[in-house]
Formats: sequence, C-alpha cells, structure tokens
Amino acid sequence: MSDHDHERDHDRDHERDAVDRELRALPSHDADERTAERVRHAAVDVFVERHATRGRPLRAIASRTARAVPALVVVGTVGIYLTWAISAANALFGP
Amino acid sequence: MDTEDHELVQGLRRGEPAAFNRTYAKYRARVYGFLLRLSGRRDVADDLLQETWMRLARSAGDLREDTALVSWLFTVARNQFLSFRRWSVLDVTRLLSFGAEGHDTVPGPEARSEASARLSILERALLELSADAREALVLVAVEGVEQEEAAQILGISYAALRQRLSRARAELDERITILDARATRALADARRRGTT
Repeated sequence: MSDHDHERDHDRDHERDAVDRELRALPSHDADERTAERVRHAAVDVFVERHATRGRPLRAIASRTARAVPALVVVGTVGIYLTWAISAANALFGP
Repeated sequence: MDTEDHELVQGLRRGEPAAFNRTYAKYRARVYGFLLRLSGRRDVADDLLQETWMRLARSAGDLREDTALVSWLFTVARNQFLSFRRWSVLDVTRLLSFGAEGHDTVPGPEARSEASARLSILERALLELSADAREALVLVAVEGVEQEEAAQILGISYAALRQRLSRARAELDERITILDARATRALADARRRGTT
C-alpha cells in the first residue's frame, strides 16, 4: 500500500469518526409528556393485573371476562334492537 | 448488564410497579428515539412505544434472570416496527403516509443556524438510508448499543453487523454529500433572490 493510500485511509477513518461523533451527539427524542404518561399508566395497569393473576388461571379468566362484559352488553343490546327493528318493519311493510 | 438493570429485572419478575416505573423512566426516551428514527413519524412512534411497553408489562414475569433489558426492549421495539411495516403494505392510506415519512420530524436544510442545519441534514440523511442500514446505524452510532448486543437485536452475526455498518456509513456519507450540495444550492438561490 502506498503512502498515498495510507493517507487516504487515514482521512476516511477520520471522517468516519467525525460523523460517528455527530451521530452520537444528535438530540434525543422523547414522546410528549401526555403520551408518555398515558403509555406508562396503561402499561402499569396491565403489569399489575398480570402479576396479580399470575399462577391463578381462574382469576385471569374472570378478570378478562369482566373486561369483556361491557362490550358484550353493547353488542347484545344492538342485536336485540336490530332484530326488533327488522321484525317491526316486516310487520308494517311486509307482504 | 449493569447492576441497576439486574435489580430492575428482578423487580419486574417479582411484579413490582416501582421497578416497572424505573425501567420506563430509564429507557422510554431511548426506545422512543429508536422508533422515531426507524419510522420517521411521531404518530407511529407513539403507537409502537405503547405496544413495546405493553409487551414488557405482559411478559415481565417471564423474563429470565439474566435478561439484558436494553437488548430485550430494542428487540421488541424493532419487531413492532417490522410488523407495522408489513401491515403498511396492505393498508393504502398508511402506505401513502409512509412514503411521506420524515416530514413532521426533521426540519429542512433551511434551518437557521449552521449547526442546526447540519443536524437536520444528518437526521434527514439517516431517514433516507435503507431500512437495514438505518436500524444498524441508529442502534450502534446514535443509541450507543454495543455491537455484540446490536447484532443480537438485529438477529445477525457480529461479522454481518460490521459489514452492514460499513455499508451504512458509506450510504450515509453519500446522502450527506447530496443533501449538503442541495442545501448549499438552496442557500445560494435564496441569497441571489435577496440581492435582486
């Protein structure tokens, strides 16, 4: 390798180190405070619940079922209403 | 793994909320920065941040005693991003916004001071790298993750990581040169317009 090649490699290493230093010094990014707090809150809730139901499968199932109840109530209500609405429309306008 | 992380892992395994909060305080910004630089979008980084910490919340009890938290968190964050990217391909609206990535995070080269212009060029150059190059460079050069750990996170060998880093640096140099030239031209144009 000639002196010229060595010099070029040295320059390249130097440039690479300089870019690495700049990359290391890039400002850190963070979520805004509200998002960060919301994420923490949601994650801690799950963390605590998971630990409480760990090793107790029945309790885990009960806890999941309890969470699903409001959704099931809404779906059930909508279903009953739709059934009623369709049969009422049939009775009124049907053959 | 440092002593503090070891204690955090023990606390997480025991289900201590204080340990979870400390882990979150210690690593939230790094995980977020990693996700933001991978995706180039704050809304995506916000969502993936939540998914990553939810995953820790669900799996904390199953962590091994010798788990390296940094590797674990970055691996999960990266997997969340890869999964998002896969789904983006199927979702036209997300695909369109994915094409416009970076516009809400990185100011253009018209940034006022020379230092901030340089930073914005670097950020933009990073965003324009190929995904493989970007994730390797962000992990090692920006986040300061050890190369052995970074190789583990990316699921490649140490030698492959070294190659990827070398290619990434070359790619970055190229992008910086192009963006620098573009910024200089834009500045010259602006000056010319100012004098006429």
